[in-house]
Amino acid sequence: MGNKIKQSVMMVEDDEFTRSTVKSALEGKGLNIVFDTSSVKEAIEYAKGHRPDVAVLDYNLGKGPNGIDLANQLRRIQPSIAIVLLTAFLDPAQLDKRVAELPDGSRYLIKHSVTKIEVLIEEIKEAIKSAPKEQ
Amino acid sequence: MKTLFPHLRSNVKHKIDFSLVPFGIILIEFSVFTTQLTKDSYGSLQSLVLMRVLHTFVMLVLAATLSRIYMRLKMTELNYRTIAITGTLVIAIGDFIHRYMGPAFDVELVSPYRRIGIVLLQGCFWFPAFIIIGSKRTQIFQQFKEYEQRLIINTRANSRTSDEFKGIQNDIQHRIRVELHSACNSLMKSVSDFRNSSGDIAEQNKVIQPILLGDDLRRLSMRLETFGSEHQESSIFKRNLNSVKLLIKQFKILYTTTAKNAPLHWSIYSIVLIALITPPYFNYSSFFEALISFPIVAIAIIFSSRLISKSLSNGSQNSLRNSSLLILFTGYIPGISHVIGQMIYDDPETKYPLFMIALTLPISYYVFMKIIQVLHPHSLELIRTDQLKASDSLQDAVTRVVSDEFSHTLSHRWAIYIHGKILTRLAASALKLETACITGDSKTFNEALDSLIELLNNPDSQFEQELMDLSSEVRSRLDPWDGLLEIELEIDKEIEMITSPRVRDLGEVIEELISNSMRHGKAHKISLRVTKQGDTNIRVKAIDDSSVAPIDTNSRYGLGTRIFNLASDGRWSIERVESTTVFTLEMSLES
Repeated sequence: MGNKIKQSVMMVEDDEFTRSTVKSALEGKGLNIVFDTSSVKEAIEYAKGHRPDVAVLDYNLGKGPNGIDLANQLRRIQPSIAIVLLTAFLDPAQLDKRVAELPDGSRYLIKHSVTKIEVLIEEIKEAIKSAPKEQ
Repeated sequence: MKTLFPHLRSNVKHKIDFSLVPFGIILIEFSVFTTQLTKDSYGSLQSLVLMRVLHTFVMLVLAATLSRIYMRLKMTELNYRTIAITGTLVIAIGDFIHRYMGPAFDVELVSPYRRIGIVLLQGCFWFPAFIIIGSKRTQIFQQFKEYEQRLIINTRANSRTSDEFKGIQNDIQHRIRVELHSACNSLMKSVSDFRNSSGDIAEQNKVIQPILLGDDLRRLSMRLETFGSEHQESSIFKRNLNSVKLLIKQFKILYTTTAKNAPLHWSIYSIVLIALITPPYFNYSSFFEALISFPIVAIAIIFSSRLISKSLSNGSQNSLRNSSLLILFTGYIPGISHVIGQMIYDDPETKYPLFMIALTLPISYYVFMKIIQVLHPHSLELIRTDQLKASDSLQDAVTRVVSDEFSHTLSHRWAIYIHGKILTRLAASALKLETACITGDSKTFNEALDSLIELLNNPDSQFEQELMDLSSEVRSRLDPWDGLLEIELEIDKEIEMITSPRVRDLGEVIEELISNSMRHGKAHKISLRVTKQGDTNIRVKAIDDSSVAPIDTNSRYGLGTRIFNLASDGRWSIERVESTTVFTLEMSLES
């Protein structure tokens, strides 16, 4: 395992069980989870006020916008934010052709590969590397 | 009673529209060509074809010139007499040129008297007919479009509220639930078996992890997700064929209703047939033959036409069938007269061509009269007052379409639910079990397993959401977009508190239209109004600042279209107005 992630991470996941499980696992590995929510509105408000470095988003957020909509909005608010999209779909493009519209450098990860939390941590690192740099 | 073809002395003005005139010229020229061909009155086939092509061109130029003259003189509307006089003039000029073309191309022409008769018939009847039908073209198309739309809307509404559809709905729901329970039960059994077989959590975790990939569930949800699109892609031909079948069915309904409620006047049946048989008479019969047989045939046609009209007016159970048979019989009158004529006086020169005409005439006359009946202005009135009822077969076809839309939208909802809730929970449980195993936390491990078994035991518990009132439902769909879109909402006070299963359908509509606006239209702002329409209907009107024009509603048949159709029975539209996109949908709140 490489260097530890020092960046601030926010999580948006509508299923409380999943959110708390992933959050605990990430925190257990020393990640700084600064905010977690099931609400898109709260996520946007938080991003506006605190400009986190990384966002781990679920694709399916229940009624309303999905993870791709939120990812694009977060990138408008915080142009250097690193994004990881979690999905239960094996091939997200089958569900939503707009997966190609994810902001540059975003990563997506099939949820069942998160069984090993290290896989998610690696994706977060990759997303941080490929996210646009602050001007 | 208004008719498509007004009385000769009528002063009603008709819009001048030449769009169908070229078609009419080609039709008449072809008819003259076949006549000359059957009469064997030409030197060579090549010269005959060349002459007809040239004459067709001359007639098209003459028609275009007349159209130009009308435009120059600003004669945009004319009465029947003026159209007939100018039409006769143009046809006469064409015939004058024809007179000189005949000898030049070695084609024998009919006598001048006969030609005068043909010019009068074409100029006074066919030319005005093409102009008048052309001018009513837009109205006729609009009429059919309106008819189709209203009929489908009514039929959809009937289907949606029918017991048959409710049975289909329950059946689809039941089948999906059974499959989901079966997949979850098998998972639960595997998890329970391995849990009971070993006390060691590391061992348990090792065997349980692969099960939690949930392959069966994944396959089920993918199958549900692609349910509609597979069906759609594989049967374009079938859908086109069904459209044609539906069109024929609709035509039959429109004909049945107009023929019963506003039958054509008997004179129209007579005039059309006499106009159709006059040219062959002029071309093939001698003056004396025509003098004897034509009045007899005309009287027989008039008598038969009166019978058609009488049959349609008496309103008996078999009136439509009888009148259809009579129309067909009337079409055979010239043929019967020809056979009798040949028995009295055998004329080998006219026997064959007239026999051919007599065979084909009844069919074209039958189809022609059915179309004229449907074009009757009364049909528009029937459409407007919703007096048209779908046939059983049309009702069945629409029920199939509605069921397909329902299956597709429901399958999509289940697919999202299985992915978003169940597979997500399986993945999270797998992570929790793995973490607990690494830390040796058997309490957390067992709690995670208990929670998982509870979910698998009752996998559909969170699928159905409780019914909300209209205002809460709409707001629950709009609130999540807060921060992404600026939304203005206005709901009529008197419908705010309505609670009905249809309110959930409204929620689906709102969700779909908002996501379309943002995702496809890249809108930033949307104004939404939900208003009451009549006793049981509501109207949703959304105006957004999309930068992209809406997709043609006829060309797309995606999930959104299905959701809108299902909710509104087809009463929705998207249009671009200046720099905004306006979406309108009307739906009944009665389930």
